[in-house]
Amino acid sequence: MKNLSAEQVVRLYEFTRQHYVEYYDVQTELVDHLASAIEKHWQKDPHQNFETLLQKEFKKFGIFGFSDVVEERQQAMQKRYFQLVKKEALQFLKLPKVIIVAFSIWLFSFLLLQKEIGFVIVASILVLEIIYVFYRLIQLQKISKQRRKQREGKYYLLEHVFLNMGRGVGGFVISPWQWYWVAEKTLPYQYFAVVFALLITFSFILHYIVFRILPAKKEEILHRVYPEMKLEKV
Amino acid sequence: MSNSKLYKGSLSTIILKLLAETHKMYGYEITQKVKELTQGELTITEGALYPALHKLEANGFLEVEMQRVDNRLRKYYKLTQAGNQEKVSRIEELERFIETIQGIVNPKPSLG
Repeated sequence: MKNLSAEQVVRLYEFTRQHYVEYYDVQTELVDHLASAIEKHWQKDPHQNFETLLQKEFKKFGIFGFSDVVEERQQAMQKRYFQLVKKEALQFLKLPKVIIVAFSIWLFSFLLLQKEIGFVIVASILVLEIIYVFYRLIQLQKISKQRRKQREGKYYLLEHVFLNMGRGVGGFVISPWQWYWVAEKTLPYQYFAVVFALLITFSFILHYIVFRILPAKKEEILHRVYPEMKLEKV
Repeated sequence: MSNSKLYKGSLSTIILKLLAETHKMYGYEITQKVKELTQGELTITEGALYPALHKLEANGFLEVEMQRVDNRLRKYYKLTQAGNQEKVSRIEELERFIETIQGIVNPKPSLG
């Protein structure tokens, strides 16, 4: 049986990149699919031209080419990422972390109930949080660019999600402020203080997970999701 | 084949069923297996197969295993325990659906 040569496999990777598949994990699956299909044609007639068969098989993906596959894969990986965030967040409802959460809610409520001075302290803490979030976003963006270079084209989709989802979650830093204007007008002040303290604590937990915990566990998680990393000669 | 709209909702069920019968399969193998089982009556399009596989994987119904085959990597899909349970309920659902459709397309003559 005629098999694809190493050069032809390289050509298939190049072909997927030319058709806007940037991530190595998605490329790898498509390369094997195209290669298997071409080899099946060769079983019947080994003299058929490689490039002609490649175009024939690519057409089977429909008018949008590989874009449906990439899009769905992106959604699947984002879903996986949010499951990881949820799993980490649930840890904050268990001992011992729940003690810190309860203390944070109490502290912020207490400060807000002190009115002026307390409010200035809380606002200062939130400004510091915004600075930290922007600092981490810029840092992760740099890492993301470096990774792309280091991996020499073998950049995995989940790694991209890990390093870039912060932008979406980072936006939540604004949320306590947005809620502030709504809650302050609609709730009696003592309830508002508790609700606002809850929101601040929630945004702190979220940022801690997205910018600290998950980036620290990134490599371990990537190896679990992508068993091929062990087979790679990176 | 114009039946793609008909099987679209059942694609995940078909994948789960095939994987339950065969220990592990890769994408191209699944398309070929369906073709073979249905004597070419049903063709799973590539553009539909991979999104369905990735969705099932993200939901925790499938796990993957990588193997080096010749000079490339191959991604095999396997059912997880949750996938096995999901397969059972989806097949029951599909069977009920087929019965319902049969009742509409081919109604049994009533005795009364």
